[in-house]
Amino acid sequence: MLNSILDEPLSGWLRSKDVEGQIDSHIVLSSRIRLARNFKGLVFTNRNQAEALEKVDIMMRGVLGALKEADGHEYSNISLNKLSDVEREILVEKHLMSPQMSQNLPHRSLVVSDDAAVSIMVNEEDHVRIQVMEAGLDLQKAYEHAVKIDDAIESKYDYAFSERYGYLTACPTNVGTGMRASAMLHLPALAMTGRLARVVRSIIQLGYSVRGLYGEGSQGLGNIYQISNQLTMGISEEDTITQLQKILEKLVQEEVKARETIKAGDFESFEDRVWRAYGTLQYARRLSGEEALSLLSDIQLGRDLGVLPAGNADMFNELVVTTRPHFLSKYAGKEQMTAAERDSYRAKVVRDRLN
Amino acid sequence: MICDECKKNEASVHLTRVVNGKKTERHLCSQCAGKQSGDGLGNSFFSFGSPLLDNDFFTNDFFTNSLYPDSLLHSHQAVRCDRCGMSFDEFNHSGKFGCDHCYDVFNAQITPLVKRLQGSLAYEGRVPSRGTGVFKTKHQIKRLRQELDKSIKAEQFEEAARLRDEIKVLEESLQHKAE
Repeated sequence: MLNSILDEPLSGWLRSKDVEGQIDSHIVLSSRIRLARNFKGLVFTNRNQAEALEKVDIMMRGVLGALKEADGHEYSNISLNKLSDVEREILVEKHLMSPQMSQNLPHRSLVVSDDAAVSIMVNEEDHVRIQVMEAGLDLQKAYEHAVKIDDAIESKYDYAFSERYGYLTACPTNVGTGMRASAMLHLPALAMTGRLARVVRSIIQLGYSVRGLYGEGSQGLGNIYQISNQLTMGISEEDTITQLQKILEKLVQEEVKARETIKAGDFESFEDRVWRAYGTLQYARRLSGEEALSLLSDIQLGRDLGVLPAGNADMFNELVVTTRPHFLSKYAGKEQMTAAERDSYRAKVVRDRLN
Repeated sequence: MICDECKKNEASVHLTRVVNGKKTERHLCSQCAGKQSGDGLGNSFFSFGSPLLDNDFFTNDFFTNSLYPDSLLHSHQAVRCDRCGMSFDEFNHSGKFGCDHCYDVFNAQITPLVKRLQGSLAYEGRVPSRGTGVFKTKHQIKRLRQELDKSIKAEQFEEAARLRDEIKVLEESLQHKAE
C-alpha cells in the first residue's frame, strides 16, 4: 500500500469532481479537516520523552482495526524512520504530512487509509493529528468522516480534555476544538486582475488565514492558496465549518467574477498568454518548479475559459504533484539529482503529459 | 484622528478585526503600528502570509514579551509543572506546553493568553463520549438554554416550553449523578 501511495501522483481526494457546467470543482481543489488530539496523562511530544513517544506510537498501532470498522477502509502504519529521505519528502509534497514530521524520526509514524483520504500523523506537535481530505468543496463531508475517525480512536483511549478548555493541545492556538478546516483553491483570475491582495486582506480581517500551496514561503506558487480558520475557542466545529464554507463560496464567486472580467476585456491578450504558456510547456527543455506551476496555472485557466480544449480535468492537479522535486526524483528512479537534471526531467514529464 | 497608543501623532493605520462577530477597531500612527506589529494583529494586515499566521509565531520572543511584561514573567519562573517539569518561562520560549497537566498548573497565565489569542474563553466544541457523561449533560443544557433564549425572543412559546421541560429533565439527571 505504501508503494501505491508514494507512486501515484493523485490520491482520490485530489481527483477533480468534474460535474458538467460546475466550475467550482476547478476552483476549489480540495477540502481538509485536521483535528489535534493528545492522550490523557502522557507527556506531549515536545518534551521528547522516549517512554511517552513509544507508548503513543504503540497505542496508534493498536487502533488500525477500530479505524477500519469506522469507515470500511484498510489502514496501515508507516514508521517514518523506515523510509528514505526522498520518500518522506514525497509524503510532504502529497500533503499527507507536515514538513515538521519529516525531521524528527524516532517513534514518528503515519497511519494512512488505503485511498490516502485519511492520514494520521503520530507524534507530530500533538500526539495525534487526524487529517481528512475530500475532493472539491465539501468541508462538511470531510468533517463527518473526521468525527468517525476521532470517535474510533476515542473508543480505545482517553483524550486529554478539560471542561474549561476543551481538547488540550501543545500550542494554545489549537486548544478547544483542535480543529483546522481548510480548502485549497486555484485563484488565477483574481491574481491576474490584481484583485487578489484586496480579497486576501478582507479574508484575513475576518479572522481566517491564507497561505500558499505548501504553507509559509510558498505564496502564489501556481496561484494556489489554502484558506483556513484560526479560532478553536468560542465557536463550535459546525459553526466554524458553516462560516468558512460561506467565505469560500464567496471567494469562488469573486474568482468567477474575475474570470468574467478577463472574458470581457482584452481577450486576445489573455489568449496570447495562454498559448505562450502552452508553447513553453510543450517545447521547453528545462523547467524550474516555480515556472512549471505558473505556466500550468495559466493553461488551466485557459482551459476553464475555453481557449484550450478542456482535456483531462485531473491534469493540472496531477502535474502540481508530479513536478515537485522529490516526487520527480522518485518518478525518475534516481534519488540524487542535480538541479539541472531535475529541471530537465520536469520539462520531459510535462511535455509527455501534454502531448 | 489621534493615535490610540501614544495619543500624540495623527493615526494613519486603521486596524479592524472581527472575532466571533465582535468588531474591534484600533487607530494607530505609523510609529506605534510598527511597534504593535508583534501582537498578532499587525503584520498580518500589512504583509499577507506573514510568519505570524503560522503556529510558530510563538517562538518570536518579541511577541511573548509584548504579552507578558517582565515582572509577570519573573514571578512565574519558579513554578514548574509537577508532571513534565515545564516552567512557564520555557513555554514562553517554545510556545508549547509540555503536557495536559500544564493547563492546570499554569491556569492563571493561560486564561489571559487564550482570551487574547482566541477572543473567547468559552469552549463550544465537541465533547468526548467517554467518562461520566456529566460534562456532556452540562454542555447539552448550555446549548438548550441558548435555544430557549432564541425561541423566547422569537415568541415561539410552545417550543420554549418544550425546551424548558427538556432542560429540567437533564438537570434532574445531573443531580442524581451528583448524589
